[in-house]
Amino acid sequence: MNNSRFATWMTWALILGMIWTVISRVSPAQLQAQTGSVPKEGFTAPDFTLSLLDGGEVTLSDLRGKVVLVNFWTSWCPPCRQEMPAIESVYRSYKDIGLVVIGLNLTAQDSKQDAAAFAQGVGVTFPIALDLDNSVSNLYRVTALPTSFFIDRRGVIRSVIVGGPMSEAVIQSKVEGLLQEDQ
Amino acid sequence: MKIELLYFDGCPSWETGLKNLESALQEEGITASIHMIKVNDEEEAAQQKFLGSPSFRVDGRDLWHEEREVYSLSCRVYVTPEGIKGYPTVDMLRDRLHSLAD
Repeated sequence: MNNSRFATWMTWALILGMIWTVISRVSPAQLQAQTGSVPKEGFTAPDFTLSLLDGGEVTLSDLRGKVVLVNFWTSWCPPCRQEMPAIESVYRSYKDIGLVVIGLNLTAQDSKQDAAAFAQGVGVTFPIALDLDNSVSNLYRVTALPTSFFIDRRGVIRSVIVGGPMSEAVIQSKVEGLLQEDQ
Repeated sequence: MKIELLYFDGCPSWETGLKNLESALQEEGITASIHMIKVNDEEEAAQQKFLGSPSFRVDGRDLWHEEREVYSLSCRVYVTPEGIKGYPTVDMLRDRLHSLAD
């Protein structure tokens, strides 16, 4: 094989490789959830229904089509308390374009009164769900507080942050990224 | 045997965790003293690979080891027979200490 034919062959190989790279690329919106509901990134968020502090209840699977931040917290946990105003601020900024926040209180380790007093003090306007028997905390295998799950419009967990406090910039960046994805 | 309890002031459950650890050590006949390590900020949390308050280490190994991408100040919770608590029970600590001796 002379140099000219070799160069031509290499050029075509390069072009075909580039075409393959482009057509086989998976966009975030095309990511498919891995099988089953597991509280890990890439898996469908386990479903739950919980009572809300202000009455009524919330079911996670009813929120498909929205970006959901589930934040596990207690009123006695300092980093939970510290990050709550930042979560509230991001919620207010993005709730009208598809963000839902569920403040999931580990009520079995807290008290409804303390949770309510703290939420009122911070001026929380997003729903506070009460995990009265630890069932959802167990389901999500929570090992530290706070823990936050960022869930996309298809109900897939895309990011988990254990510990805190999260800064407003971090929350905003994760929420914006998910809101920009196609449904 | 080097025994450490890592904590930060904000999470009150470390005090019960310490009492339970003392009981577990006594019941297992372990006389080693407990080194209290106070984690003050995010930098120290990262240095210590702090999994939350309270955490229990024996010879540098966390009794409930888990991998994290980011280490920060947090309140650790444990799945106990009575549900999720801010500390492990005496029996849970005994089991872990016992398994180290095997």
